[in-house]
Amino acid sequence: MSGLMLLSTTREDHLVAWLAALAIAIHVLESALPSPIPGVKPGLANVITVLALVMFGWRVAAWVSLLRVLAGSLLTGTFLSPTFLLSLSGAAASLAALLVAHALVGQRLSPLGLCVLAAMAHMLGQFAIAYALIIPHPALLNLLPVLLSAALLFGLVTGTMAARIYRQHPAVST
Amino acid sequence: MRGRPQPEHAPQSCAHPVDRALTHTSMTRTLTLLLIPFVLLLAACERPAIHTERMLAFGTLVEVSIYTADEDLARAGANAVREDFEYMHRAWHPWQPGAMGRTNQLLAMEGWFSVSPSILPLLKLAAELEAASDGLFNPVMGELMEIWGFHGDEEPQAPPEEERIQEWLERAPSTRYIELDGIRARATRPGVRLDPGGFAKGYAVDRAMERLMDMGIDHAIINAGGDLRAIGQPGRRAWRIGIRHPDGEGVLASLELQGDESVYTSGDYERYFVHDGTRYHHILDPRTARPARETRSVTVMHHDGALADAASTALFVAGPERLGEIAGRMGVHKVMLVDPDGEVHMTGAMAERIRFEIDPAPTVHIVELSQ
Amino acid sequence: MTRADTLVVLAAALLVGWSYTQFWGTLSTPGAEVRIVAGGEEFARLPLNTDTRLDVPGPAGVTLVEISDGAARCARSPGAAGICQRSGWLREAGDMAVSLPNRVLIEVLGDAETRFDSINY
Repeated sequence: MSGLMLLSTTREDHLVAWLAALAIAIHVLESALPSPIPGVKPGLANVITVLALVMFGWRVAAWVSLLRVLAGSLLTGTFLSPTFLLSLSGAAASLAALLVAHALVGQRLSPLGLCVLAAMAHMLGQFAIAYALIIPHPALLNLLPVLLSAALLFGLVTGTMAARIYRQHPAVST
Repeated sequence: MRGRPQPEHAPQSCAHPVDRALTHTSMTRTLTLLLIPFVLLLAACERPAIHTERMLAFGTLVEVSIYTADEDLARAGANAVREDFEYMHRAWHPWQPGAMGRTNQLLAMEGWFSVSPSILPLLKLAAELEAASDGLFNPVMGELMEIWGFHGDEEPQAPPEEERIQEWLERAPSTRYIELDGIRARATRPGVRLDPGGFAKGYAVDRAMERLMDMGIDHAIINAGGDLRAIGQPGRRAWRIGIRHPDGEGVLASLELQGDESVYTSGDYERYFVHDGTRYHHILDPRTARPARETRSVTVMHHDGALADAASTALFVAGPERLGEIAGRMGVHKVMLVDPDGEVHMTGAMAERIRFEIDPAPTVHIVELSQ
Repeated sequence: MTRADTLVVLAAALLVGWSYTQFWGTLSTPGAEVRIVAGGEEFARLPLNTDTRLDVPGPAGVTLVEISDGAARCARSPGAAGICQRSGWLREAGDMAVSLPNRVLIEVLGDAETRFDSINY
């Protein structure tokens, strides 16, 4: 047995792997959907990130989120492409917002509020990168209201779903 | 975990939190919840829409609206209508080279000739429509239209001299002075010149709509100026048609069309000129050889486009007095006429369908059809 | 839904509302296009937010199309009755001007929010 094989996995690693796998499956499914406006996606993978956060804490959430973007882009063949860049910036922004909110107000925000927050941050982060790096054209700003409306709507939808799932499996100790 | 209190009801005895969180049944439920939006989104794709294409053809603005999910089919349909109209416009132009122009040259020579197969059905139709309208619709006023200057694309500047009008009136051209023998014909009087303007557009709209139906289009409107035919419906509602107010650009009344119906409007606002303070429009009364004075506009609903086209012209000339009589003779039951005072004369069948869009609604006189 | 949730949703809604007031009004103009058809063919497709003048040749002469301040008009056309010019400035989707003698059609593109599918005139 080499030293590599002795690499032990913790319970948290299993958890991360499980949740990331679920998030990746959703990510891939979503990327196969046609989108009416570029950049508008339901963002269902956020459900997993938010649930990971409230159920298992920020470390698990961060891992799940980043693994999802990486593996998801590898699977859909967009790794290191502009789509990947947008996906990464969105995930990073939403993760940052979630961590800050969770640290500040903790349990006072339910998965619903967290999902809305994540969706809005995701869209804003993605938009900022798109505007700054990819298409710095003023006409893009005209799209922002529509994109934000969609983000709010999908945030509420995913939030409702996250809240319902959370109610069935409330927080567990790790 | 910072800031996260231990919930009391969490099962502490549970050996593995992952097992607890993702047991088989709850996993299925979670996935189902997550899948619902995908199904909804997929169902929302490829929704049919109304595709509208505008073009200039037949000397007028033509609007083709096609309701379909297949955008390519809509484009192909609009192009087919354009081609058909351009072909018919060339073939039926009353004096430019083409089958109709040639027919008019041969009629002017007053000898026997073989009628082009594309013109023969029009010639027969013209004679029938003239007879049915008691001569108020006259399809051989081509020369009079030229005397007035309404034959070209440009509007005339002044009315013609009185002598020329009298000359035309004395000859009183009519399809009765065209003798038909099989596919041969001859004019028995000078001055008989077909002007397809009054009924050919209706015939053309019907042909173009047949073409669309052959292409597999079930829901469409073809609107060539005042000549409109609709089939099917856009989604669950009916096609909604506005009828122009003769005084301006606004909408006087609206109609909801049920399946395959045609709506034809003739108005004095379509082509006109003003000379010395008097307005002269292009709908000429064959009895006076001058613009008809008793009417502002006439709207006719009927499934046969050519008949509706001719009837709207004939009823315009007939005026409110003879509206019921001529409509009855021609077999059109849904008719609305706006007189110079802005009052509306219409049949009961039309009144059931019309909804006025102006406030206050105009005074309405219900007209009885006479048989 | 907790009170903090309500606050987050409200803040998000405010952000969306603000983005509309800030960026939405400018959409209709830059997005809008005017299409010019001469004869049976599309002659040009121009954005309404760029002022320009364009000569459109036809069988009766030249129709001058002018675009200024987010609207287009038929500035000059050979038709003696001036029907094309009388249509005035075309601004909204569905607005149009027609010169029959010169076979020119000028229309503002876009989905017109109309109550009628077609107007019988």
